[in-house]
Amino acid sequence: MKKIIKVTNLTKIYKDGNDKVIALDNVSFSLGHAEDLAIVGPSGSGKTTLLELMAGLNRPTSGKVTIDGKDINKLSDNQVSQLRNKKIGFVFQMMHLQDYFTALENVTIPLIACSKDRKKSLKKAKELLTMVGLAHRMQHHPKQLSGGEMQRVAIARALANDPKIVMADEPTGTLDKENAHKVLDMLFDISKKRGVSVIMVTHDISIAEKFKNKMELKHGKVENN
Amino acid sequence: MKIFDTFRINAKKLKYRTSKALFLIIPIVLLVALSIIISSQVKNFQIAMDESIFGEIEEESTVIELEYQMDMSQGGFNPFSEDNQYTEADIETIKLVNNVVDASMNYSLPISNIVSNDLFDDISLSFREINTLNTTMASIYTSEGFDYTEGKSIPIILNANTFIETYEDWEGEDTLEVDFKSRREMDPAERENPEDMRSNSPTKTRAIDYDKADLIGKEFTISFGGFSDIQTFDTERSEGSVLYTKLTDDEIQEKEDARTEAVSEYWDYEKLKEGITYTFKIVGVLESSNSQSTYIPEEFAQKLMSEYISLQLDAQNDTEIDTDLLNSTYLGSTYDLTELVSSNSNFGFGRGRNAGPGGPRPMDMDESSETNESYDIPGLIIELAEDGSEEVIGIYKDTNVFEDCVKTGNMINIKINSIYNRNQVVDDLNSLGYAYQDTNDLEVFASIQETLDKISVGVVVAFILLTIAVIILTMSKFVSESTNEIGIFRAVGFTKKNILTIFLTQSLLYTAIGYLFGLLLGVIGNLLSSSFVSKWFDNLIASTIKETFNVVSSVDQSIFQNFDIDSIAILSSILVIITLIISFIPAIKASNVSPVEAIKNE
Repeated sequence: MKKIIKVTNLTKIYKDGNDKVIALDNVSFSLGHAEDLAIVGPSGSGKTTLLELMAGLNRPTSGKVTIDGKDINKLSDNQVSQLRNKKIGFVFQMMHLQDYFTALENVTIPLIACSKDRKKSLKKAKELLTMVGLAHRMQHHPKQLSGGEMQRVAIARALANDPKIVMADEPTGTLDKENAHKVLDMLFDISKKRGVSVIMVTHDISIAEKFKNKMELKHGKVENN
Repeated sequence: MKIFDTFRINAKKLKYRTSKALFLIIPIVLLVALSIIISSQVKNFQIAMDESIFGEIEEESTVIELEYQMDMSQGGFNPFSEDNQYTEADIETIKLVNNVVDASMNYSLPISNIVSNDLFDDISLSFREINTLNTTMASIYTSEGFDYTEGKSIPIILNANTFIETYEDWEGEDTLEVDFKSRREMDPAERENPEDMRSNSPTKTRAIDYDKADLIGKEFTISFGGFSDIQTFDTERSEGSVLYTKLTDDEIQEKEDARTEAVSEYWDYEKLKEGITYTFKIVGVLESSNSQSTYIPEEFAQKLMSEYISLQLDAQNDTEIDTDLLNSTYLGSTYDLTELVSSNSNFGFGRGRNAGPGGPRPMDMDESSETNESYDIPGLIIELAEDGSEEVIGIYKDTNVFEDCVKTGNMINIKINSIYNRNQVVDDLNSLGYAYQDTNDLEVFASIQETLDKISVGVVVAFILLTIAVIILTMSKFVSESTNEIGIFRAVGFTKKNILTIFLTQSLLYTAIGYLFGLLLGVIGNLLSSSFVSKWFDNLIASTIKETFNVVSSVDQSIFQNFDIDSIAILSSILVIITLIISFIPAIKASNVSPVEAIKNE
């Protein structure tokens, strides 16, 4: 089966003055279509760094990330931006919605980036918000939404451009258990329905348990695959 | 990303974070409004000054009348030395001075007896001197054309200083004695009495009433040459006094017959007597000039001179004239193949002031000229030896002599491009060795105007610097507060260029809003401030300039409601350009924000 993402010998070393901090040490794995993966590890284990490298938000010291057959380190900043826009949906730990946009407009942001027709964008955003159960909250600004609602808006935004992968960085970190599970179930549901691969970074073992594939990081190294 | 979306994003941002946006918008509003008000009112102030102080004389203040200064170090001014005059070379030098538009020698035509009988009703007006002027210089004095066209009446610029009527007053007596000794002992105040000053001869003068508006456009004739009327009295001089004795009609007739007889020996008297008459059209009247100059077009002067000389040549009979008689009995201009010297004066035809044949004779005139009668022959050019020995060669017959001679003069008219450059031109002239002291009071006002110009420039510079500071400071603050926002955009696929565009349009949009409101506020503020500034101006003028000058006329308040459109246009273009350039700094900073840092930021 063709892999949607392939990580080979990925290493990231940060320089802090004269000290070198090895954030990631020779990490390799791959993930197929509609598969899910939980990357587990304590804070400082390098899991967020790994996510950034996979999304092309950061460049590795060595190693390779291939998304849908493309080596993203060989792409220009513009090309990586486009690839991120089309293939990757991002869900952040802190929701990260633009406060001046309504829920609906927030969902359209990836569509603005690729110059999609505004009418179509709004239609798509409405569908997605309805899907995550926020049909009644479309015209609200982030400040008027609860944490769970904001995270659902973020998920809808991540799906706006029909990506191949959704990358989520502790999306449930700030939510209570009930909401956390709701969000999680939604992610799995979407993954199944839309054939989207899901990679989630979390320090919460109980959440990781729900994933078919798990990978544990410790001091930048893969402990258990 | 579509460019329209960047505006949509920034519009939403503006709507949602209005109070933050105001940190940029309000300073821009104030800067624009203030600079509109200040630059407009400074300009209005200048216009008001122009109208109240300069008025019509401003244009005339762009002329500098450079008069020859006597050189005391070399034993004083020698009126007989022809070296004491300006030449064409001086004109060329002066033309090279910065901001000098043109320079021309002010010399009068060597023509005797220039009279108009139809300029003023029942008054025969004598012109002491007729000067030439080119069209560039003429533009100082007239807005109408000053070109000479054959067959049409000739444009002329009159000088109100010459509007003087000469008449005789014998106080009912036949003799009149003027005692100079007692006059010198008089109380100075009494001596300076103008009425008394005029009474030193039976010939009196009075100014002619005129209306400039009536004169402009009027056509009249001037006759050149011909013989002047015989002086109607004898002058007898003794130590400290002069005795004037009225001549009887018979005595006058006798003198006239003697002249006719003397002239008729070599010339056809009747032919010569007529002179030549031309029709002129008044295109300007000088009222504030220091000179006595009446101006006619340069091209016409050549024609006039050649016709004036031709008349004399044509009137000559076949009798050979003895060279001894030339310059003794028969007077005319002299020509040494270099310079043409008028019989009107001893020292170049630019200098004659009171020796006009029609006017009163100078007091200290040589006795011999009275005992041996001599006659001015209009158009007579006497050729002198080239070696400067003053030896008379004969009558010079080339009618182009005026064109060919080297023209010298003691006054040069210099036109400068603006009154504001007057000080600089005067300084430059002095450093070139042309001594000139500007006694023109307008200088003071010109320097005030200069100061106002500097204020205008200062306002623009301050405006630019403050705008740069405001945009950089506030936009940088916006960018550093927006790392999170930038991170989100980057994570969902916005390119660096997209981010750059977003922040660029943000500062452009905010500045544009600030500019529009500033424009509105400036327009309203300018109108509101007009009455205040107007009152302030009136008070200022009343308490300063009005106390010393009469030229001040009151200024309409509406002047202060004007907008300095030029400055507003300049400010607007500067604003657009600097906003564009300056906005790149925070926008580039924004585009370089690492998406990773941005996301971690919380």
